[in-house]
Amino acid sequence: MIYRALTANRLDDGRVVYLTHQGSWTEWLNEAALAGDDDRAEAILARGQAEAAAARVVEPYLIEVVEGDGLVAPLRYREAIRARGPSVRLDLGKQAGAN
Amino acid sequence: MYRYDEFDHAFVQERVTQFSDQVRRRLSGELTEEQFKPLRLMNGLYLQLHAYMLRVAIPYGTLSARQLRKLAHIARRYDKGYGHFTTRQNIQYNWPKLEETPAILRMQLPLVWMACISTSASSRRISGVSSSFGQLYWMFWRVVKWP
Repeated sequence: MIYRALTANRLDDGRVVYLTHQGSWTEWLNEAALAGDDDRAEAILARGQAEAAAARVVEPYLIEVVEGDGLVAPLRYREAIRARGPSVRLDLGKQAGAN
Repeated sequence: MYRYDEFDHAFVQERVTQFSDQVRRRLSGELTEEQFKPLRLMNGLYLQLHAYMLRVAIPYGTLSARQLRKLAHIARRYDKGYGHFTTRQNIQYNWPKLEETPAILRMQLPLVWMACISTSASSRRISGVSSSFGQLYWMFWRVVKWP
């Protein structure tokens, strides 16, 4: 099944973040709130836009993901790169856990 | 070695003061991203795939040892300990924090006569110019500030 998650860039440091069920922002896609239908997707998008208006994130938008074995993966390659971190210098990006 | 004069220094300081206030207003929500985006681009600050990116101009592609040490200091203090020298004769920092960029522009780069003004592709700049005399004359009038 294809779900939708909300992503944005955090305003103060520009890092990629995802909206959680609690309404907070996480850097890890596995912790993101997943919307299984249009109503839920619209709800999390509205929440993200309110967060943008409150100057916490920049340009929130929905992405399509799939879930399996407890892991969440984006369908688009661009979003996979955003979720994993830079595809070069793995020692410096999100993969290194050094944020 | 290129070195900007007192006029350039004053101009840069004025621009950085403006940018500092713009960053403050963006962080407080007074400015939307739509309003802020052209302003940060004019000061060499991009929002890219993973984080902000700050582009510092290297005039004529030359650096003194003192300038290089300052760029290294900026990388260690405000970034992840490295910078990216590019084919556009600049250095790019890939992980700056928005609220710290005014400090980089105001308190660090001017000490070594460097700046980020108009380093974005969306702002007016000249790079690798090779053209007719007529075009050069037109470009000269566009970029020179007259009293």
